[in-house]
Amino acid sequence: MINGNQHISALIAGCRQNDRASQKELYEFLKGYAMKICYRYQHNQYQVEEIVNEGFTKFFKNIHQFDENRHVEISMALKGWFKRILVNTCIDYYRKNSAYLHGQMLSEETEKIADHGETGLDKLSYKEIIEAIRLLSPAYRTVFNLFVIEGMSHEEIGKHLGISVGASKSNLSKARENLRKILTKKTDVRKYVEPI
Amino acid sequence: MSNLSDKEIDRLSREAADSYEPDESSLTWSRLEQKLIQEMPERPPDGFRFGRINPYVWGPAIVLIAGVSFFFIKNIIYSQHSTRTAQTVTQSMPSSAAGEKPANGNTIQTDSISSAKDISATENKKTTLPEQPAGQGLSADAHAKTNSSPGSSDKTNSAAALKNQKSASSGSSGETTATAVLTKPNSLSGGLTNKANPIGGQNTNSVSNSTAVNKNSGRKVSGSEAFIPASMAAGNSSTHSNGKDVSKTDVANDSYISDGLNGTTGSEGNSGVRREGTGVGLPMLASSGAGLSKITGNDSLLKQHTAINVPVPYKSLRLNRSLNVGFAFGPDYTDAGGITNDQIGNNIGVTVGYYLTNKLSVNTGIFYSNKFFWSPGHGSASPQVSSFIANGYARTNAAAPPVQYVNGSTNLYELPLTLRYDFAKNDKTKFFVNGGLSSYFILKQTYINFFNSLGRAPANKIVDQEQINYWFGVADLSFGLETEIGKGFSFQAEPFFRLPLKNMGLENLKLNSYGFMLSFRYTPVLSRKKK
Repeated sequence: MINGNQHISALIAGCRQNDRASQKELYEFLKGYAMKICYRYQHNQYQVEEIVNEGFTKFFKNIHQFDENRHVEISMALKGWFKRILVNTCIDYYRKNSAYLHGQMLSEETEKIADHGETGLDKLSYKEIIEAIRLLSPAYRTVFNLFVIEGMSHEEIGKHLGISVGASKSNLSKARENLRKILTKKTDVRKYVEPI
Repeated sequence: MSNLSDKEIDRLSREAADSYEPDESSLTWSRLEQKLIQEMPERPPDGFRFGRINPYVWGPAIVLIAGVSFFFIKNIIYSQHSTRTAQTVTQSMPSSAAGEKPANGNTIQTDSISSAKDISATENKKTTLPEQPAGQGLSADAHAKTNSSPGSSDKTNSAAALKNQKSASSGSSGETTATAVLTKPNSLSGGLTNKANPIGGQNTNSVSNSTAVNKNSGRKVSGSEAFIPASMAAGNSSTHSNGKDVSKTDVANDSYISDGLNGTTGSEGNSGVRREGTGVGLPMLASSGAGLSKITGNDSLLKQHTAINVPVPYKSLRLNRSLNVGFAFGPDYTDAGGITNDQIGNNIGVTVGYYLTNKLSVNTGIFYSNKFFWSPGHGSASPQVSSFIANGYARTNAAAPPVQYVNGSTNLYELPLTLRYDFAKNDKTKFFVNGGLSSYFILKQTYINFFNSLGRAPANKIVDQEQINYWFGVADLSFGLETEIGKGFSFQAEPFFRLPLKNMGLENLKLNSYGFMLSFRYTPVLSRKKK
């Protein structure tokens, strides 16, 4: 467990020296945080892990750019900096596979999962909402995450994803619509089941 | 639920994103560590430490080496020029300085011998006559020729010499300088009678003069009383000027002096002294200082000169420098299919060369090389690689996926055998082209195959340490320049291309290498032959 700025500074210094032990310790400290972010961007678990590892690799390669002396709370600053790396990695991954993923609609599997949801809105957990987001098509999911969760503007999204502002808005609208459908199906099932 | 507004969906999503902690147990350090080993190795994984030197380090290093080499080359050239200038200065040393030291016969000897040594050393080195100082060399040469032609004068000279021997007192410093002046040109003239007889030429002139005038001292020297050993006088025929009156001799002297300056043969009466008031700056005889009309000398000293001045037949020395050995190193860039490579390979080794003719040499050596390359996948891996990959995938029960990219590194010994032709040469630099075949002895191959597969392992690393030999499998072409930086040492810069004639390695790739080699070579003297 990492305690205090001094410890984390030492780890950062070790990572700058390409020290495996320091890298491992920092990885253990940040992997949950990394998983949390990347999990929303990918439906496939293996791809999530791949993105996380890619994000960590970028993190360790570029850690010399992080200036811990400018921050009071180093771990928070480090997480913020790491989050940017992870989101960018997710975007890169999306763009790399965009030819394959563009226009992909909800798959049959997705529909089935949505149909077999068992919880109602009142008991809709955060997990189910996140899973619902993950069920969105990659294009919608990415725009939704960037706009709603990361707080990017449509201009920024368009710039990052290489799409127009209109396309970004359209994708966001459709993402919300699909998300609403998914969540509605879950609650409908709940409503149907509950009386029994 | 269908009534959820956009804002509500956004709020729920944000809350879920902040609060939900997905299961992270699937994340393992070992997988990331493997990736880090590939992309951020703690140390160069293969070969020597230069293996992963950044190209940004190579650039300055090369510039530094080139700069240092240039500095040495420049210094050597400068020092050679300086030496040449120093010799010239020594030859034209004015007599006045020497004139302050009477009876320094040792100086005569030392100067003569050292000059002779210097010259013979120069001759040994170049086996050709070096540049003679303007005027003096030619005049001495011509002077000697003139002197040797009329044999009838021998008697006169001998008689005068005998007489001079008796009357000669300690050697004058004026002679000293004059001797030094004439020594080198005479010995340079080669094959002439009074070659290496520096004093002979000068003294003959003294004898031949009825009267000699030292401009600096303002003293008159009587030629009839000037000392000269018989042996020195022998063969030097200046009799046509002997016994002439002073004024005539002076005219002859002028002629000699001007001839000496202009580098043409003196007409008659070579005296080697200058006429008073002529203002010509040639070295002159100085009197002993005892009187105006006598030059005093030292018999024993002159005998020594006589002994020294025995003519030695000149032989040119030919040095056999056919063999050369060297140390070479340099970076190269390996291309295995058009994908840009960000890693620079290294070569380090020793070379041996042997000149078959003046311009043609055969060269070989042994190099240790690291080569790094990227290659596009071939759709599917080669059978050997497929078996490796399949082994890696056996636990997943999956077929080996198609390879998208290959990142490889190879450690190998390289044995070139080339013919080199020196097509141009200036003072110290040779320009050459080099061509031949190289053999590769691959020691270790490392490949990282990147697969075009989603949801599977993205890469697979294959290491093969079985030695594979490719005899004469690579065409080796290069060109460059070699410049001397010291006695027997030279520096060579040589851009090269190594183009494979066959596919190599587990991946059956053609590894084209482009780079340049820097080498320091030593050319020992194998034998010395006099001709």
